[in-house]
Amino acid sequence: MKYSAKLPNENHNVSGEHPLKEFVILVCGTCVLALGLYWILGKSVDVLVDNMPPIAEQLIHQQVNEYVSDEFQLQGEKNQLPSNIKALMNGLEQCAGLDYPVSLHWQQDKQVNAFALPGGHIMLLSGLVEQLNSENGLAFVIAHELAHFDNRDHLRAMGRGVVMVALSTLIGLDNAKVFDFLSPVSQLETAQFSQQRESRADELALSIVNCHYGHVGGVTEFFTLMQNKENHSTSKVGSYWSSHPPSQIRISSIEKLVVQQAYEIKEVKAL
Amino acid sequence: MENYIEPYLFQIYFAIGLVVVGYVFGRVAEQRHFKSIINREAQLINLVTTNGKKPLGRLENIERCELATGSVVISVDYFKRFVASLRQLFGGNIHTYETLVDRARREAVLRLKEAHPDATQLINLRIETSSIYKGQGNQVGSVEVLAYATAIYT
Repeated sequence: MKYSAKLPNENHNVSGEHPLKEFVILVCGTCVLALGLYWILGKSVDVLVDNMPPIAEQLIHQQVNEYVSDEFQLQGEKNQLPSNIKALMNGLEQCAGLDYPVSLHWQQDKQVNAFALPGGHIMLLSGLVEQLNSENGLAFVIAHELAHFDNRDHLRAMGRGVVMVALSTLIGLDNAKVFDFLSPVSQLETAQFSQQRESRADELALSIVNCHYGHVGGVTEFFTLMQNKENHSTSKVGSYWSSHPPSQIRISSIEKLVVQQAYEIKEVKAL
Repeated sequence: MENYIEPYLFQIYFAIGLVVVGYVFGRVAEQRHFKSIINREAQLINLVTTNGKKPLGRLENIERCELATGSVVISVDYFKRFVASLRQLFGGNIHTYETLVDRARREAVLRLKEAHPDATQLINLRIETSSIYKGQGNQVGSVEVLAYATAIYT
């Protein structure tokens, strides 16, 4: 029999599977894994923060205080605060009953916002004070930030940040495009988490304002302001992804709480 | 009011864009390449090629021997790389790289044969693989395959 050369009919070195099938399975698997891990670790952070003794919280505050002060150049700004706001802050702080002192800072910025920084600092942007008409409206904003400290939300946020960094380093995918691709998936959970915390902070802020003034008149002023801005905003991404609930929802849930807790609404004080 | 997803939008579009471009162009190039490989393999099928150290059969009047080489470098596309980096998490066969290495291996041997179409036999065929950009994680790597053999002319 004469030998005749022949090529194999099939290529056994390559699997016939469609590459997109592998792609879909792997992407789904990784998303589930990342979300699951992040969720479990996020919950552990919550448990840890809830059971943390005040001394540990103070230690963390001291540690970050220096860094935050340097980063935001907070030294020597206290005196610039108008005296009525300083007095308001003192009253609210007493009502909040925190274990550590919180300092209020003032920054020239057109943005209408205020935020809490780790280490017991609240930053007021001058744009906010210019736009608000009543002291009660401002009191609610400050009380809201104080409520964040009381609920230890800054510690939760820091804990989740640490989890994110640790996860990305552990998986070691940061050099590939994978991590960029996945990080928003975890942010989804963060956004919803954050919206819950904001609502809780609103609840506590109401009671702080009520303790200070004896009524809760004018508390929704800030949100009404924000609502007008939201109506003009061009953001294409839904409120589901946002760190804060939409203002309309916050106003109605605050109004509901006012009725529930039988808070009084009286005349507001001009700023 | 900060929004968590907005700062990432550009990154997401960019990453998805790279993967899509990688998939489309990579797939077209791969299918063309396989088609060409199969055609050329059929044309060169009668050129005897072995990995043995001695020629097949008894060859008389050997005129000369030559070192025959054929090498090829094929780049990984973003799609393949993306799937492979996800594989790091779960383990298992990286199917997307299988076609890449198979193409490179067959192309290298084909080039070697095409360089010596009149040889009587090609013996002692060896194949070496190396990856370019090795160790530079943020680069898209590529695979190099070198095939070498002894071409015998009678």
